[in-house]
Formats: sequence, C-alpha cells, structure tokens
Amino acid sequence: MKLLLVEDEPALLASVVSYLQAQHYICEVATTYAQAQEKMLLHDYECIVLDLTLPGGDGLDLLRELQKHQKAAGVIITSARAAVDDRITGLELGADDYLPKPFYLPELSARIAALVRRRHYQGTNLLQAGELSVDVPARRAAVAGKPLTLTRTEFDLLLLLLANQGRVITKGAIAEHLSGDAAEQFDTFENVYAHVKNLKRKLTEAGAPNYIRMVYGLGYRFDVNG
Amino acid sequence: MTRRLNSPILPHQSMKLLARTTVIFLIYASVVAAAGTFVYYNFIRKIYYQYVDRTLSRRKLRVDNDLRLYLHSPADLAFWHRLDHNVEFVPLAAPGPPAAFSVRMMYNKLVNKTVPYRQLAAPVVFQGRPYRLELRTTMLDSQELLARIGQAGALLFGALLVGLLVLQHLLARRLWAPFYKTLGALQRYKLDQPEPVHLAPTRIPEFKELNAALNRLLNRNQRIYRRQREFTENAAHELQTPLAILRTKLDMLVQAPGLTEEQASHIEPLLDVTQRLTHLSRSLLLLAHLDQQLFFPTETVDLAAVIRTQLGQLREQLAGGSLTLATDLVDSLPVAANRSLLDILISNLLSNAIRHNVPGGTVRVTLTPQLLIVENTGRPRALPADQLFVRFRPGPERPPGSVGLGLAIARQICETSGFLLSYHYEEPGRHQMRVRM
Repeated sequence: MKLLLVEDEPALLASVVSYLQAQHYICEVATTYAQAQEKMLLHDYECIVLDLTLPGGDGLDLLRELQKHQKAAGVIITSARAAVDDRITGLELGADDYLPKPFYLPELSARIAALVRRRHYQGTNLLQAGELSVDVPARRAAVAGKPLTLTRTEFDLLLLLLANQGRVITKGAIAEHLSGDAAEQFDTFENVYAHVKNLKRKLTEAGAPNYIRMVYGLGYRFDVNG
Repeated sequence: MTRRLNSPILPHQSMKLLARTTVIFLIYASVVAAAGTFVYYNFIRKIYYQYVDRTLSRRKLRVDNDLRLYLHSPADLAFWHRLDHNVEFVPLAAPGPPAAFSVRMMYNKLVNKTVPYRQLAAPVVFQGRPYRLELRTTMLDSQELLARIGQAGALLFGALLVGLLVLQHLLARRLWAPFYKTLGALQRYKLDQPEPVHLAPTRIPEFKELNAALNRLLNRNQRIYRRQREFTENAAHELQTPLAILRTKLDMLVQAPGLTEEQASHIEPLLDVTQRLTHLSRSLLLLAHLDQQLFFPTETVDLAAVIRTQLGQLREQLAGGSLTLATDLVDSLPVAANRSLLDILISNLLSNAIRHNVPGGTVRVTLTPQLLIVENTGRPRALPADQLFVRFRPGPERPPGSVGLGLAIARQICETSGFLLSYHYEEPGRHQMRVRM
C-alpha cells in the first residue's frame, strides 16, 4: 500500500512517516511543490496526504493537476489553513477528506484506512481482527459469528482502534474522533472512559478476549495478541 | 430620546443644538422686547407731555393778553370759567408759587367719568390782586397708551418669533443637513463593517473639516482593527504547525516500547496542555473568521435534532455532575444556518450549562419555534451580563481548563447567523442563555 506524504515541515513529516510505516504502509515523501508534482504524476499512489502550504506553490493547484491528469489517487488534505472555503475548494477539487492541523496520528491512520477501504472494497468489506469481524459498510460487528449491538459512537471507536492495532491511542485522539473537531472539548475524558468501558463490556460479553487495554492512563491499545 | 425620558426635570439637557440656539434667541428677544416697550412708552410719553405743555404755555400767554385787554371784573373771570372749565382763576391772599405743570384727575361731564388732566398752574395778577391761573387739557388715558404700545411690542415680538422658528426650520433643513448626514453615517457605522464609511460631501468649511477629521479617524481605526484581526488569525494559524509537531511527537512517544509508568505520568500533562493549546488556537481562528465575516455556507439544519444529538453525547458529563436534564423541545425546527457553526453554538451553550452548574443541579433546555433557552442551576445571584461574553473573561466563575472563549464564540456565531444571544437571571439561582431566532 503506497502513500505519498506531501509536507514541508521535516519534524512533522518524520513522525507521520514513522507512524504510518509501522502500520505497514509504504511511504514516499515530498517536501516541495515541484517534488510533489513530479512524484504524483510519475507514480500511482493509493493515497496522497497533502499539505496545502508548500514551498513553491499552493497544494490546491496540485489537486487541479491531479484532476487534469485523471490520477486515481485518494487525497487527504492536512492543512493549517482552517478556512471554510479552503475545505470546500479542496473537496470540490476531488480531495476525499480534510484533516485540519494539528491532527492525531491515529486519526490520520484511521482516515487513510477508511479511504483505502472505500476505494477498494465497494459493498463487501470485512475487517478481521482475532475473533472480531467487522462489516464496515453495513456497520455491523460480530465476535466469532455472534453479532454485537453497538451504538454509532461505539462502532466509530471500534474502527479507530482497528485502524491502529497495536498502537497506543491517546484519550485526546479518541475524544476528538468521537466528537469531531468542531465540538468544544471538555478537559475531562468522561465520554472516552464511558464509551471504551461499554465497548469492552460488549466485547467480553460476546466472548472476545480482552483486546482493549489501558496504557497508564494515557490512552488505549487494541491488540489481538493481548 | 431616552435621555429626555430619563430626566424630565431638565429637558434642556437633551435639547437639540438648534432648539437651544432658538431658546437663547427667544430669551434675548423677549428681554429686548420688554425693555424696548418700556423705553418706547416713556419716550412717547415724554414727547406727548412736551407737546401738551407747550400748548398750555401758549394758551397762558393768550390768557395774559386777554386779562390785560378784555376782562374788567372778577365776575368776568368766573364767567370765563363757566364757559370753559379748563380755565380757572383761584383768588389768592398772597402772590402764589411760580408756574408749574401737574397731572390731576377730574370729573369730565362729556365722557361721564374721571379722567386725567394736564394742568398748568401759574400766578397771575388781575386788577392788582394775585390769582392762581389753572389751565387744563384732557389727556389721553395713559393706561390706554401703555396698552397700545404693549400691543405693538407684542406684535413685533410675535413677528420676530415666527421669523425665528421659520429660520430655524430652514437652517435645520439646509445648513445643518451635512451635519445630520454625517451623524447618521456615524450612528450606522460598525468597526467591523467591510465597506468604508461614506460621508456626504459639503461646501461648508466647518463640516468639510469635520468630515475630513472623521474620515482620518475612522480609516485609522479600521486599519488598526483589520491589522489586529489579521494578527489574531496569523498567530493562531502559525500555531497550528508547531502544535501538529508537538501532537504527533507525543503520539510517537506514547508508542515507545518499555514505557514506564513514571514516564507516562510526565507525558499525560503534556497531552492535556497540547489539547488545550489546540483548542485555544482553533477558537481564536474561528473567532477571527467570524470577525472577518467570512462566508459560511448555510443550509437547512434541524435545530431540535442537533440539540438532541449533542445532549446524547453529553450524557456522561451530566452524570458526572449528578445533574438532572429537563427538556422541552419542539419535534423539529428547521433553521437556515451553517451546520458546523450551529454545532459549535449548541455545544458551547450546553457545555457552559454543565460546567457552571452545581452538584445535583439541573440543566433545562427549552426550544420553541422562536426561542432556545439553555438554563442551569447556579449561585443565587445574577451574573454581570455585559462581562459574560467578553473574550478570555477572567474571574472566579471560570473553571480550570476552560480557555474562556466559549460564550464569546457563541455570541459571535449568533451575530453571524442573525440570532440574538442574551443572558437572563431568574430567581432562585436559574441562569439562562437565550437564543432568539
């Protein structure tokens, strides 16, 4: 699964590459407009993570270029420019998703996973993790064939966890994933605790092993290997 | 207008400039009219007396002549008086005082009443004996004279008054028109309006200077305001990338194998602070965008559904404070608004009602087609309404972790969306945020 990461900030790029590589993605990087332009026209990528403010040009122009050359890559815009019209223009120009900076790495990973799923598996899309199987388009989950009754939030939480298996997802990342970036954040994480607790209970009641573990109060990790 | 209502005892305090000028003119005119009438009256009187006295003096010369040539006995003197009541001879024992004019009241048979007479009393000698000669003439009634002159003065004053009022009206219409136009433009002026103020051109130098000075001032203010707004936006914007680095590095740090509990305890506050900084910079950016009146696309959003969804998401927070939730919502209420902004507005109001509640208190949400009320239990005293919506509001009411922008954002969103947000206090201890649609 090959990704192109377009980002001019080296420190940020390093974290993103490092996180996504551990998720078994093949990451190529571009730090300038020209580099990005060259790479995305020469190669085919599963997904392009695109920063809008680049040395040498505007990321939105890269989108136009992609459209012109009918490149079939999925695009996630990551931008510090949170202006509403940027978001709209970006999506109009064929971007699939818009993730404002600063973002959480597990969130980016989940968005990439969702994008890849949408592009590859129309209709049938079964995620398998240990005894857990999740039908994403139908929004159904089951443990060893036994269906789970999950709320919308719990299902979203499960998707985030599955997209970041074996990684620690901080409470803040979960909170933002569940409430969206628009909602005012509480400094407490009561919502996160409650939803994780409910999900864990439902999983164990359905007979699944304890997949979700808390990591020192920082966050949670989903791991089928315990 | 309101000031006039507030101080009925001192109406001149809120009197218009022109009205004030008129009042001063009127006072001046009445003083001049009163003094003028008085002086005029005395002047006329003096002239009149001089005329009468001169006539009497001439008659006295004639009487002197008659005494010498035609009269022969005291009986002639009495006969003369009978013929003309205005000529009288009073015999004296000794020679009388010198000639003097006086006014005396006497009965007049012709008009059948007592009227004033001007009299010249002069000593005369007839056949070697002293007499006092009294020559009289009726005078116009001085009261009537005064009345006539007063009438003339009043007429003059009236003409002056009418003229002044007409003049003032014309002045207000013509001369002061540029001033009132400028005033109107300033009253409509808002610092954050996108278009510059247009002050109507005028030929009057004073108003020209006033407009020029105002234009300089307004442009300068607008420039400063715009620069500050841009500064806020740029500052918030420039924060995003460092925050992104901070966040992702922390995300990497928590993945480190063999992370100890002690290390985790150092990382946790960093996560919280980063979270808070992110929220702060996003809030600032949102406010900057709202201030700039950037275009926020509107769609039809069901406000009732938004509230229900958000209340569902806040269940844990409500439970955490042992709060009771009471709702009275219409089934559905479509409003034309930007969905994200509406989400933020409702979220901020609900979070506010939860944050500032008391343990065991109530959050009451009422939605009618015109009005949304979010109410929370709190301290039994009204909050200062004007300070509630201030950005970075300090004060003891602010709970830790809050950046103090929630209500400022809510108000700005309401303004952008054409809603009206206000605070109301109801006894006992019920604090309400009302959004009027």
